[in-house]
Amino acid sequence: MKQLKKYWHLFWFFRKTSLMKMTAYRTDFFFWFFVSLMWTSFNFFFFSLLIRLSNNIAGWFTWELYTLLSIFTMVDAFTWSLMYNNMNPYTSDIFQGRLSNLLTKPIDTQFVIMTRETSYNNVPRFFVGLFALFWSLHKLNYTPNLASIILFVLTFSAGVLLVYTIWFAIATLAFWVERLDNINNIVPGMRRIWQVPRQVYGGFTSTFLTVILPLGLVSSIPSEVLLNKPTGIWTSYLIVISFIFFILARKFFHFSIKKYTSVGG
Amino acid sequence: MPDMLKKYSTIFRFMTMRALYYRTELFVWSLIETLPFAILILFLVSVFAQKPEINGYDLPKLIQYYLLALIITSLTDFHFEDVRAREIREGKIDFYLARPFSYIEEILLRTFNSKIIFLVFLLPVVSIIYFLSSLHYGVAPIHFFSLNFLIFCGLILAAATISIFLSLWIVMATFWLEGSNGLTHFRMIGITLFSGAMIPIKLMPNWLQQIVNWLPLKYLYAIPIEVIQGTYQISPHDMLILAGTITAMLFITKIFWKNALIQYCSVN
Repeated sequence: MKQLKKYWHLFWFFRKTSLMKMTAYRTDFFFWFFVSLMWTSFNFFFFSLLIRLSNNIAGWFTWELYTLLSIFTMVDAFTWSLMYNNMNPYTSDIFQGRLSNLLTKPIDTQFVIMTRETSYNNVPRFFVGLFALFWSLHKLNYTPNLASIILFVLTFSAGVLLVYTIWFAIATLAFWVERLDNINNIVPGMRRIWQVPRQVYGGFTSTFLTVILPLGLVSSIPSEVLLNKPTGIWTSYLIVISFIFFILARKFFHFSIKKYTSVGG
Repeated sequence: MPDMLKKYSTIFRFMTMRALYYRTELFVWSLIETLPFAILILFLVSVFAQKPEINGYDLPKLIQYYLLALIITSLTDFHFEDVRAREIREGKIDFYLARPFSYIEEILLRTFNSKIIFLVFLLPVVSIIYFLSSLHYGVAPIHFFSLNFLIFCGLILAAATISIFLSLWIVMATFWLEGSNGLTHFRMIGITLFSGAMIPIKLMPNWLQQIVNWLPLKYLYAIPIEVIQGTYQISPHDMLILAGTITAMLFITKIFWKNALIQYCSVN
């Protein structure tokens, strides 16, 4: 319990220091805040152009697709505000031999790596997504019950954890490769996988993207839960597989650390 | 003339060696570029499951449209703004100002060089996707020995020139604005939105069609693709607009660069 309290305190302490850094460069913050909003709007606009071509895509109607797109935008907020800003220093520390600074700290290294930075420029993405989510549910004339909301929060968190874990595992490959500067562009490059409903995938692609590397479930399952669509075992699968991936990534990290060397260590 | 050729070929060879040093990265980039496109194809299959044709586009034609858009992006999209803006901001370009080889020439040579190497990695991947798409979805083949293909190549050259001018303007803006490389995002959104890279003009809402038809950015994506697909005949009027745009951009770039150098200062 004491440990948990320590990590909880540290988590918010990191958020606070990131906020202080952000306020030091306010103009920069407002500029990137605007750029982030621009990309979010552009993303919505691009998909709205595709959605309007047909009113039923893979069994999803227009406003249901907007629900999915809203949830994708909320996941995207975590991608750019938390994951990207932590994975970049992580790989850079490995390549430049600075990871020893973290390894010698009396706290869990993976925790520090995954939580030390936040970019507040991208936080508005989350609220844009949330607003769009309420709007699409309003358009569908649908009010989810408490059980759906709880299950939504659970599956949404599992989805974010899955993306972050896969990113962490890929970034950990930096221990094994000589130099790969774009290693942190791989997961953002895969974002379109969870931007579309899982029913879009068929055959082997479906098996690969929903079972083996289940990124196709990240936005789909929370949307289906919220819209009360039948999901079968997929809800439980997403939650369980996220934790399994997390444990595997942690084991891979501890295994890879043995390969790490730096000056004096 | 032979001396000049020798100079440029030596520089080109040196840059090729440097670019090949990052070959794994180039391979990863080519995968990153093509994956979203593969997902888009699957999405389009679902869109066309309900309707066989939308505004003159069926599934094979639309897949071909996006495949050609992917090829155009790989040929005409340049990303040197960040690195170059940083060089200017940190006062690291004196080196080029005192040489018989200008900074702009250095940017252009290095950009073309890394582009060629990137294409060596990307084009096989795109060719495989194209082949698979023609096999599965009946995407029409490209006729390489046709007049339309020749016009397409000319338009791509013009598109690359326009794109490189836009990127150079962003780099040069660094002489006045500190965070000018952020303008790259405006360039990317502007081009994607108003060039037809996002969606064919016929599938756009009316208000967007009007803007796109008025701007010359349509010559970057929509027109070259429509030429290949045989749905657009290039006219002297188009040639005039393109030539005018490129000449005006060249003129602006020269003035911009001249004033930028006056603005530049570094230690010593």
